[in-house]
Amino acid sequence: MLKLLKYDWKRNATMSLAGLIILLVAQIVNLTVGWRNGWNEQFVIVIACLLFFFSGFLVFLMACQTFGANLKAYSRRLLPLPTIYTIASPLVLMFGLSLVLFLVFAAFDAVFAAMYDKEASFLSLLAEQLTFGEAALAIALAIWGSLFTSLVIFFSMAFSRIVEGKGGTFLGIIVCILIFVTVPWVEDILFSPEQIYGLIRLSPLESGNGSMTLTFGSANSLEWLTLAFEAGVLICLIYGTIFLIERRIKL
Amino acid sequence: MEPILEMKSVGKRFGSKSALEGVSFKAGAGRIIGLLGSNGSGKSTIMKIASGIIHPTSGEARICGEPIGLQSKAMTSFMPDKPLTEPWMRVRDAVAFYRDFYADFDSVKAQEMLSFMGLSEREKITSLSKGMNERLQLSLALSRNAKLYLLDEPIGGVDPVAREKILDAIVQYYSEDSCLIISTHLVTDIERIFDEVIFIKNGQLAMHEEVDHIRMTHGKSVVDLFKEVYA
Repeated sequence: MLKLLKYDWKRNATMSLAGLIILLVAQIVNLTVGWRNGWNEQFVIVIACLLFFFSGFLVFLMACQTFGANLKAYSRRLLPLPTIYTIASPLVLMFGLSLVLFLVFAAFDAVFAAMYDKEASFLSLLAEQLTFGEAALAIALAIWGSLFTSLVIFFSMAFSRIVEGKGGTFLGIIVCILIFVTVPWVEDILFSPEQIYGLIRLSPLESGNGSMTLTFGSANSLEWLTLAFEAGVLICLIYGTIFLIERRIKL
Repeated sequence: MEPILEMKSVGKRFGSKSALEGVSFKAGAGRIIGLLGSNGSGKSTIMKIASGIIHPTSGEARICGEPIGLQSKAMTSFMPDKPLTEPWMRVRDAVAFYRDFYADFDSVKAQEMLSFMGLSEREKITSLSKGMNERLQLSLALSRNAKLYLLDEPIGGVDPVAREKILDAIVQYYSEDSCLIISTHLVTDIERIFDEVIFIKNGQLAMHEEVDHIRMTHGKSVVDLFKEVYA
């Protein structure tokens, strides 16, 4: 698996490093120009966050593109390796690059706090507000969401390859939309009373002035049945993708 | 002796179109076999089934007695009609890729073959001409000590000089305890290296004969018989 990851990285190394350098330059420009011209700090942080989100989206696209290229490559399909590695390798690459992005964000956060004379950085404030369990849960849910989304896209990409030409592309898009619509709908019917949204039990508290706050807690607030259902869907997606690669996709 | 490749009533359909129908044959060790047929006759489909790229709709294929799967892939070296390399690679990356993933890859043989073919390790694959690319793909495929070599149109689209070089390399570097199957429709150029030929016509096996037998009993060359079968 690590060897596959090595070659997936090599394939994307030039683009990834170029993207990282552009992100770093853009963030440095955002920080220094904003600081020198006395820009509102909220404006600077919003621009920075937008750049980070955009970079994260590009990392996700890169993982999908890598998976798509591996589906079509003889060099990968002929390897005497389990097919699941074809799915796992771009995912590991995506999470690895996301970690790098997070580290760059942490560095940006520290520099931002120092330049704008903040008492504490954004991340340290967040760490004060959340317990270890809550932080771990938030990270786990982010990973779960990314994993689920990626696997739906991978399955749809594999599905689209069973029909050649534009028909296949449209088929893939329809399958993707169907899964994204059907899974929450089924979850809603099977598990969700009014106050549950997704995997976490959110408790809406309404005050008299019309504002509403939502609170969620630690692992106790997780909807385990929903999680088990999504885990089941995830396993089906993985097996479905493996089946399509091994049995249905023509090279 | 167990055959290297055995196909039993193999059939393959792509939707409503039948690409192969009831193809059965055995290929033994130490043989260079020509898989001959016109365009679209089903040669590449047989190659892809044997290499594990696609599954047959019916029947069964086995490599050294093993069903097609991870083990058979480890014993089979396939040179498809499309590149085995990736566009970002240099020649040395392609060699490293093979060394990393195939336990039977012989680095010394690879170096010898690259030098025989006139390829430099520093060259970018995208900058290679079609002929040089074919030479690289062949070098990679034959540098493995595999049981079964499958070469799909190894001389298609290359000039006569490159063809000779490629054929010389095939004869020089293939090992005697393995089986080599070459699919082609350019029979004239390649006939000299075959021990056996298999004719595929409209997805069915039309003939499987030893080349010497064809010459003795039919009194014809493989090219003449090919023209007769496909006329």
